[in-house]
Amino acid sequence: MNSFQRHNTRRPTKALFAVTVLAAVVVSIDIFSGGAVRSFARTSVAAILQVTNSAQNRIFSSDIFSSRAALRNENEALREEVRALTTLKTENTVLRAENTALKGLITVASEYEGGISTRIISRATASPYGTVMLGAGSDDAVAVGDIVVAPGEVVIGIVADVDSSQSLVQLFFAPGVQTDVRVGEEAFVAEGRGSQNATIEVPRGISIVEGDPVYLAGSPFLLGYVEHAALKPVDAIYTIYIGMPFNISSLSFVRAVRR
Amino acid sequence: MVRIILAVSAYASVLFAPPWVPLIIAGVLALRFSAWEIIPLGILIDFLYLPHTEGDVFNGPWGIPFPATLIALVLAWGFEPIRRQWMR
Repeated sequence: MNSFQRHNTRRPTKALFAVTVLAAVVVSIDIFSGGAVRSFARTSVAAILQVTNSAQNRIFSSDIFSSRAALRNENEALREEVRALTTLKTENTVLRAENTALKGLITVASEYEGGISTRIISRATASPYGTVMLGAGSDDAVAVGDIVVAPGEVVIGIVADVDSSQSLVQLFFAPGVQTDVRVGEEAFVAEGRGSQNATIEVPRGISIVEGDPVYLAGSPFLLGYVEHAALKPVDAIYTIYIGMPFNISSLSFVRAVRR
Repeated sequence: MVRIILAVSAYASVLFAPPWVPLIIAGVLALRFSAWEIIPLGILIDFLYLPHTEGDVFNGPWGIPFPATLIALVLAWGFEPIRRQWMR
């Protein structure tokens, strides 16, 4: 290997080594500071996500792409008027969607007082750990252990980590997450399987059929519905598959309530 | 230029795409370049999404601490010999 090749391959390795050491330092600082670096990272990213979510809502509710060709054919005066009306319509659509979502939470609030309605700010599909970020934290009285409820009194997860202005929710249907549930009068442990599915192991003799509601144990909140029961003639225990009644990606607002 | 585009895509996908997207991009980066940038990427994923539970501070799935960071380190350092072989 000539001197050029040595120079070309060793320098990047030095950078890699330096970043590895720096990473170890950052992680150590975060651990010993009780999550200060992580909190800073989440706060920064939450600000970015709030802006992108707002922009996305406005773009998709304004019909800007479909109306562009039509606007080009109109005269200047009408164009100005259309722009003004489009802006008003956009704001109205966004407000109406938020209003509808918040109205769905009113029934939950009436049963479990003391909670807070908040927006989901991260993509539910982006986390490899089955978590989502909420736009409310300890400053808004959100605490670790709070249950997170979607419109329709459907529980989706539990607050696992709280910063001052945002919190992290562990979804019940995330892979490996175990949750105490109730089907009828019987208590079971549901295990998350990802993709908004969970399973429970049921001893033979207990009758559970497709469509039965599954509730979070010790609460009136729905976790999901029985979608499929895998029963073989020789099994002493059979597996019940539970599914969420909606797509979590479609959720905008949830409510964090004290357990 | 390709490296910058891939790195920016990887960081954006942490926020907006399923987890396999940054994983694949990180793999490509590690194979093609001495990609130190995927280590902060792994840390970012853990800082953002790894739940912090009482008594079990940085526990990821199957009890592995900082899983994304570890995967990033494995990719960055594990692919280094292969990358060097290709660079010759």
